Amino acid sequence: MSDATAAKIKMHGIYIYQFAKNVYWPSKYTSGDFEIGIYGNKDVFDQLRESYDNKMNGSQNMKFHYYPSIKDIEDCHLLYVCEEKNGLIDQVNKAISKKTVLVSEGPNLDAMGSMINFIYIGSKLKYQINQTKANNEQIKIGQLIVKLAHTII
Amino acid sequence: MTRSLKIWSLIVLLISSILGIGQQNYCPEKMLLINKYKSKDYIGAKLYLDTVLTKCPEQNDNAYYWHVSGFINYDIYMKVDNRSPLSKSRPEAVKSFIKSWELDVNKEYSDHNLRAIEFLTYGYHNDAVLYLDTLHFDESNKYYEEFKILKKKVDPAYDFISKDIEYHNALASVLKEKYENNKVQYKEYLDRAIENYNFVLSLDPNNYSANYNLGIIYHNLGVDIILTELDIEADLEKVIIMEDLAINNFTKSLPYLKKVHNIKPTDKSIVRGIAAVYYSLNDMEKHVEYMDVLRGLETPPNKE
Repeated sequence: MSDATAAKIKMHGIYIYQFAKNVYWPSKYTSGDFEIGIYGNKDVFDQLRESYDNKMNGSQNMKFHYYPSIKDIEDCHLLYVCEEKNGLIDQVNKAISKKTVLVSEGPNLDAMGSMINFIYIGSKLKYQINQTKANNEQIKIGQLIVKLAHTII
Repeated sequence: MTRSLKIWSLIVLLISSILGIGQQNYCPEKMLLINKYKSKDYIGAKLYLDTVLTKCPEQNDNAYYWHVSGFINYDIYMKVDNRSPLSKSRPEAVKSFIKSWELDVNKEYSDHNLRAIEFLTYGYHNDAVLYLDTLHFDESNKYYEEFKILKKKVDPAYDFISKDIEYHNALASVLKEKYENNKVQYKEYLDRAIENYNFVLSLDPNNYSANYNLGIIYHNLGVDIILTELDIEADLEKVIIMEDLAINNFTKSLPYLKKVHNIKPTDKSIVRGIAAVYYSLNDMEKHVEYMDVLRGLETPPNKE
């Protein structure tokens, strides 16, 4: 992996970590481990696990899981679907429960059906939030995440 | 015959004329000084230089006195101090030869003075090259500047451009290497490396080495901001600031790399570098364009 690639992956990792820290799940999901799944890119998973495995999110330990295919996806708090799997996003949406905050990456949050979507604006990595979806699923997105979002729908 | 031997032969010739000239303005201490020098008591002769000036103050304006002072110090530098760059006699020799040269209205010693200064001048240049490493680069720079000052004196029309380009490119590379040994502690050396490369570009805007290195430096700075300086638990406001800084560096690197790509369009490492910069700037169309160029360069031409 080149340094340029590693830098991009690290940036995504930091954002995902901050999403995990600053998004609040209903109390029924706040016991046990805090599970973060990565679908589609092992390098992102490796970086996240190496940097954040077992760090505390509130009273929960962060755990990371890599899902090479849709059938491997398990119930988790946050699922990041890498850009190269955008074509399968509808199937991913069907495979996850209401507990899971789906984080995607693509040109249009609406089309992704996710709660948070990475998007590049020029050279800068930004994100969009589907606040309506979050409200419907009783997920509270922290103020800082909302404040710094590029788009909120 | 080596340069030093030539100079030594000059000294022998000069000593024979010392006695004659000395008689015109008799100063017995000067005679003793010359005797000490002739008997190769260089240290003794040097110690006596001040005595001559005290006893015979008119010698202060005597081109020959300073000419002799130059050679006494020259021989101490060469034979006693074994050409040590730290020798205090070398600058004394230079100072004496220059004074003699300036006082020598009849041009009796000018040729020899100039040749001696020239020899010492290139000694400074050699030391600048010799000391160009990650521990002694400041001394090296000092010797290089001394070389330039002296060279300008003896040859005001000398064109330093090619020497400056060569030296400052080399100095910048050493400073960059120093920075890379400890990127956190030695940041100032990277700034100095950049200054030196920019100086080279002020002399030669198309200089390959300076453009290439600045391109790589700025790209690596951008990457380092994200990979090294950015804390994995940084809050998002900090992340945004750091990302802006990184992008600023990626953007800076492009014109330098494009310039060297124009100079050497088949250099794969440059094409790879430009592709990496576009990737870092998330300009994927341009990234793909340069990756295609790279593929073309890596594919051997068809043999028909």
